[in-house]
Amino acid sequence: MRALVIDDSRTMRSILRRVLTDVGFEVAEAGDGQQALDALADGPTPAICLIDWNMPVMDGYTFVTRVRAIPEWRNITLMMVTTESSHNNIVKALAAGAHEYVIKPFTPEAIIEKLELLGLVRDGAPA
Amino acid sequence: MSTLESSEQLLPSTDDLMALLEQMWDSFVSPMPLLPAAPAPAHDWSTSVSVDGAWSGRITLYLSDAGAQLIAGRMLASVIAADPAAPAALAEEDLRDAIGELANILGGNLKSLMPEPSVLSLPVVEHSPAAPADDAAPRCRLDLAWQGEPVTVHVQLIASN
Repeated sequence: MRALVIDDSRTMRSILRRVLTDVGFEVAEAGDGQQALDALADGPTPAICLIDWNMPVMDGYTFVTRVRAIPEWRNITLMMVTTESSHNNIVKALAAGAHEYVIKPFTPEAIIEKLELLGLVRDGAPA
Repeated sequence: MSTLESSEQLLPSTDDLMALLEQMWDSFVSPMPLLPAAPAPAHDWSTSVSVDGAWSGRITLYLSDAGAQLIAGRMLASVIAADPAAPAALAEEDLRDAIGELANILGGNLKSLMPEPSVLSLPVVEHSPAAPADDAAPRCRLDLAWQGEPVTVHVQLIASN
């Protein structure tokens, strides 16, 4: 199962890559929303995107709205992983089509728990 | 009374700031505690983000060279451990990215405690032996140490654009 991690911080992409590979995901990375859209267009389509909000070029919220406008990408699960923790913005992202919202700082267990809730991980491996 | 002075009550409490810092440290750096310390006379690195909106301020983290290396190394520990070819000392680019992300996380969480709406800037990381600014603007400050290295956090109100 593939995951795309979208964050302008290489450190954060590396931390998330480690969490995801530990539960068996194949992980690709993008440094902003536009790079991520390009990666989706080039394929293959990931099962899930983990998305930072505050990024240069294209922010995570705009990325979510762009993905949700493309019917072929409707099955991609979108999880915000961000410091953006205002109630209004959480509601805005979920309304735009994000499935889950994780606020940094997080623990690996918190990410895995969300993946389990989304039905993407079971017993420490991709479902 | 200036606008900034009348806004002093809008500064975060040092307890809130410490709680955010400890949570971030525990998740990404180390469970070893940050301890209260005397103000450090100088720092080598600063990493900051600004918040602009209903509440406007700048959150800056000041670190020593050794502290920045240690902290970035801990943040990237699992990555380094997985790469046998990783060099002993972190590249400056990796160090800048790691401590920039700390300011981003601290600023983003602090922003949620302050009046909304507001926008968070991207982090700015600077390598210069500058002490925290000591101007007249109201501020909240924590002087701490981790692994014997100074960690100073400074929150300062700024005039809204």
